[in-house]
Amino acid sequence: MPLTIEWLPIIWGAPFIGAFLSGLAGLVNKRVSAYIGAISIGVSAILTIPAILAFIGSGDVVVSPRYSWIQIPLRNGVVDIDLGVYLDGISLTLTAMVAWVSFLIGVYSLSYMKGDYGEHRYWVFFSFFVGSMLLLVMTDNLIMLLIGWEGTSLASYALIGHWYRDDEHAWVGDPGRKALGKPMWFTPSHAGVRAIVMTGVPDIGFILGLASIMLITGTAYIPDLYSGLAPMMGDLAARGILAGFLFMFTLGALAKSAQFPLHEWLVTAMTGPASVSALIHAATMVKAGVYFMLRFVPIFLSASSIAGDLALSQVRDYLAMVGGIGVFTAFMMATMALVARELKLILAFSTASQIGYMFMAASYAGMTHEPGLGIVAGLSHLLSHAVFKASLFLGAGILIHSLGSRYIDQMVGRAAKLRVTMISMIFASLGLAAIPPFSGFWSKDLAIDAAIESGYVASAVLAIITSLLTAIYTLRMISILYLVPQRDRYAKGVGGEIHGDHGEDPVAYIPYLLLAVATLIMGILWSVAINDFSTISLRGTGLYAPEINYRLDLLAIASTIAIAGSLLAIGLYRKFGLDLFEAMRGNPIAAAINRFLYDRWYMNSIIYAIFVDGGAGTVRSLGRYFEGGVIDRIYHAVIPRGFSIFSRILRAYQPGIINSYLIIMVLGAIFLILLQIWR
Amino acid sequence: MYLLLSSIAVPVVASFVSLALSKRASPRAHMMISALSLTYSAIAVLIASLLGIPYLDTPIRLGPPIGYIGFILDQFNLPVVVGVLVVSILVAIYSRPYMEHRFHELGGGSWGVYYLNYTLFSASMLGVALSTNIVEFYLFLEVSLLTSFILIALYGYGDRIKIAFLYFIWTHAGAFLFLIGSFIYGLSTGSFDYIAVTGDRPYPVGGSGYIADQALRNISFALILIGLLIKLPAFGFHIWLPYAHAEAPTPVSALLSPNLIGLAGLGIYRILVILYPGLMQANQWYLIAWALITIIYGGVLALYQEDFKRLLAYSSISQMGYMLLGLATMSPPGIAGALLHYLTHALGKASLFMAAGNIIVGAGGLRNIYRMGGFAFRMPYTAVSSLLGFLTISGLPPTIGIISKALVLMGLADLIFRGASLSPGMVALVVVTAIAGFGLTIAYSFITMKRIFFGKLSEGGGEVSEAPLEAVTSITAVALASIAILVLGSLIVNPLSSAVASIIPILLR
Repeated sequence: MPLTIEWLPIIWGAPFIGAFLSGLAGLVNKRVSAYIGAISIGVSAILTIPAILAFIGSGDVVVSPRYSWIQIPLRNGVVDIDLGVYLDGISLTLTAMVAWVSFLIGVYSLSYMKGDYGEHRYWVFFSFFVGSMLLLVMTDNLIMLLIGWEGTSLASYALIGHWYRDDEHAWVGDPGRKALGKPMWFTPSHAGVRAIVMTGVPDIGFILGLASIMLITGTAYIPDLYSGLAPMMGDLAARGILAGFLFMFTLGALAKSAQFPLHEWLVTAMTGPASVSALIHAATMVKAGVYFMLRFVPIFLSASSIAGDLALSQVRDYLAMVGGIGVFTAFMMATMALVARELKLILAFSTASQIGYMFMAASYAGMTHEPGLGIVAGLSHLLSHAVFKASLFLGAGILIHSLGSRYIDQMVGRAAKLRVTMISMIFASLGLAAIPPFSGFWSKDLAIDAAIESGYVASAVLAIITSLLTAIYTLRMISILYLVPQRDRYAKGVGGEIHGDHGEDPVAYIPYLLLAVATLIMGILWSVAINDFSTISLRGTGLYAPEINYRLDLLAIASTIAIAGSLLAIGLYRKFGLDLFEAMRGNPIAAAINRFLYDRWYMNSIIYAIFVDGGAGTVRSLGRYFEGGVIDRIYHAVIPRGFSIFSRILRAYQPGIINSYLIIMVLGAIFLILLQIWR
Repeated sequence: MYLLLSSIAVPVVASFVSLALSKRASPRAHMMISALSLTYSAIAVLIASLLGIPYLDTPIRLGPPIGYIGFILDQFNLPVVVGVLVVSILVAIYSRPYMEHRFHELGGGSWGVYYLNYTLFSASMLGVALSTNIVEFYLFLEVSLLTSFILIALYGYGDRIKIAFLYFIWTHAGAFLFLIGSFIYGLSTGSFDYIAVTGDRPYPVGGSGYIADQALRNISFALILIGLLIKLPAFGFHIWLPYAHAEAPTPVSALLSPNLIGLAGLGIYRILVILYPGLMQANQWYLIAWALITIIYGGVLALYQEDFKRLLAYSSISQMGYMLLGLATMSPPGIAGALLHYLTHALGKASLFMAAGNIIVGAGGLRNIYRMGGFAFRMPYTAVSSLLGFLTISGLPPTIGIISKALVLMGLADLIFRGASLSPGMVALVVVTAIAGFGLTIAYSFITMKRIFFGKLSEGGGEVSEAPLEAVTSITAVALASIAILVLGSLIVNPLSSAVASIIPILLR
């Protein structure tokens, strides 16, 4: 029996109320709005504790009553859309993660955003963001899932474009740089539009998918879909469109999680404040797509196994496609991170790359007889990534702010002065680089294990290569920040002074220090208690928890690779320092590779050439030639001229001469008389 | 009881009071007369809804061939009525500072004449929405066209006399076709009613009012359809709209663009869906294709515009494609979505036109988007309201737009994923077209938002400043209404949903 707790919707409701109140309060005092925002998220975070305890104690899922909100029509009858909460292992884990990580980011923001010109607006959207994300992971039905989903799109748009006045310090990319003729630097307002368009447009596919599911199954209640989806899947499979349908349904998730080729919005999303990057990359937004996979892959598997082999094989086609996209994204983004110069950009590439691992694990779960393994792998990697990436972004924010530069090679020799930040950056980086015993090591290992189990050898190999690249780019970042001795020319034009007004503020550094330490603690916990975690997190998902034994061979390979990659990076940069950049620029082939990676495989330029320029060309030609030249001319020139010619002809017979009128009249009368006679 | 009749009659009387007091009353007094009389309408409608929906005024029977004259507030026109009232009350307030600016530019103008036409215009749209009979529907629509024609001719921009006549001729071409088609219907069936009454219970006429002759039925369907598609307007018949809506005085644009044209969508529901369900369904794929083309074409042309008001006008064409798409699906969620989208578009587009007006007033007549930029800092309330307006029309939370967009798409999904009628290739085509069409709205919305409000403060704007208090209050209220209606969604959406879900299957049986 599910345990029912009345107050659960408060967890997602509190930040929405916080957003509203903070909007009102901000009209009077900006600081008050900040505290309201942070406290409202704190309420959510604290309330997750009794929810977790109740969940562990109950032995079943935890739900809230289904408080009714609106009704949506179906073909016959209506379906109730409620405000209820359904917490199984997956949604509970995400709820706790989102609430706590967001709360810590919120505390950091109290210091980081103090005195900003948009502080008030920041808190409205920040709380709204957290509320939307919590709603999307906690809700029990599809329409509220959609509302939370689109809410995160809106909030990320507003926060990415937070510094809407487009001052140069908030840009991403090197001003003036072009690739294939397309500008490679982005202002906050531009990055905001990129984000909402690139995530909002694919969401139409997501809406079509969930709308079809609601219509055809007749329910919006997600737990009903485990079996309720089966007849629909059978029908679609018989028509041969099941894989396509599921892919359309997943388009929104792929975009939200910045998977190839929809990844471009994420890498320019750092135009927002660092705390926003932390929120988007760690706790919210990109994790929504992974949550979608973790939530729906078990449903697809369960329903298609009821629907029959045809459906199951098409579901597997679909999963192979999505898993392939995931592993390719992981690899692609890791290569870009190897050469990036902007601190936040390295972290952004690594986000899309790590999310690729999660997509891979969650998708390939469906290829095996033990789907639980892949799902647990995806979920654990999501958790460990959330923690270390939040820490890295928050630390990066302090570094950038205090050192006055976005570029790591301009931070050389100065970053180490911020001691607390250094410690937490290193800890969190070891998590990202998957060095044992930090959390990323265990979770990435599970993800690769899931790929191996699925039998997709090429993907598994690519995933292992990517983990080598990950170790290299992560330690390259750390080496440049902390190990390369300062050389004057790299700090040229940048004040050597530490601003310090935030650097030593404990309100700012305690959150990321805690998260960095958590990276280590989680790693230790996972090494001993992974089976407990998997049992709890799979409860209520319909999957049975596999017995997870870390594979020693894989652990050995993975740790060797991670450590080797790290040492390689440290060695290279320790020895050559920043001269490596110079060396690469000197050699034409190396320089070309460097350019290719630095300009993000030219993906941005290609997308702009096709969609932006192509779109603009279509718009111009339709607007100028079709609308102006054809439609407007036909209606407002050709047709009126036709009428005026017609009237001129008519007027020619009415010259105003009475004699001619009389003649015509007489002729007419004669004609009528003749007509009568002839009849 | 004549509660709903009074909700139309009071503003009509108020409009003539405005005319009578023309010179004697201050602009504020005129504004109060108009806004308060329309507020009375809102109260009357509220009471009617509390008395129980559907609420029907005592019918005035005229006998064949007309039927009866009545006014109804039911689940279907509820979103339309709310849209008309919220927007017309708030724009009445907004008009005062704006028209002061416009009169100043024109070198004079009469408050009495303006508010006479404005209030009559609003009341007549309310009349269209509440009608139970094609004749009533047509007559009220004529009054609204006439008053809006006068407002454009007197206070519009550009070559306003020419544009006013262009508007007049186009809409009357539509009205003429509509009228002939309706005559065929009314004279063949002996009644123009689309809401029947037995005892006290009103219900849609439905298939009972069929025209016996097949050819005659097809002709009257085609004439009414084309008449309404001109008013809507659908692609191909749309060319009058950008002229009229862009060059009308901005408060009038704020009523014209979302409210008036959307009534054609209500007409398609009331007359074509209810009276000709078989023909609607038989022709639905043509209409769906037409709707998708309208959505995409309007969106593409919106991106082409330099003039903010013209951009909004093209966006209205695209939004009317949403309504047509929902109606053409003949599926309960699609139809509910279309009717709800009337309200969505009313609130979203009204706040955007009001924002355009605020920029015109605040930046010395500026309408060219490429000369705008960075205005968010100078006019924060206008910026927030515009953002909410764009969110509403592109169907994003926290606005009611998300529900209506999802419902329209759900109607489309009903056709393509249920049953096995469509080949996989066609399914893919429809899906890609829908993604492109609905995606374009997001694209032009946020690109425009960036061009106008974000970035460095442009030189072109001169000394931009926030609009006067009345304009700021009314625009914010319209924009916030969109959030409020989502939160209180059950009041409007629930009755609509259950009514649609029960009636459409009966019609299609």
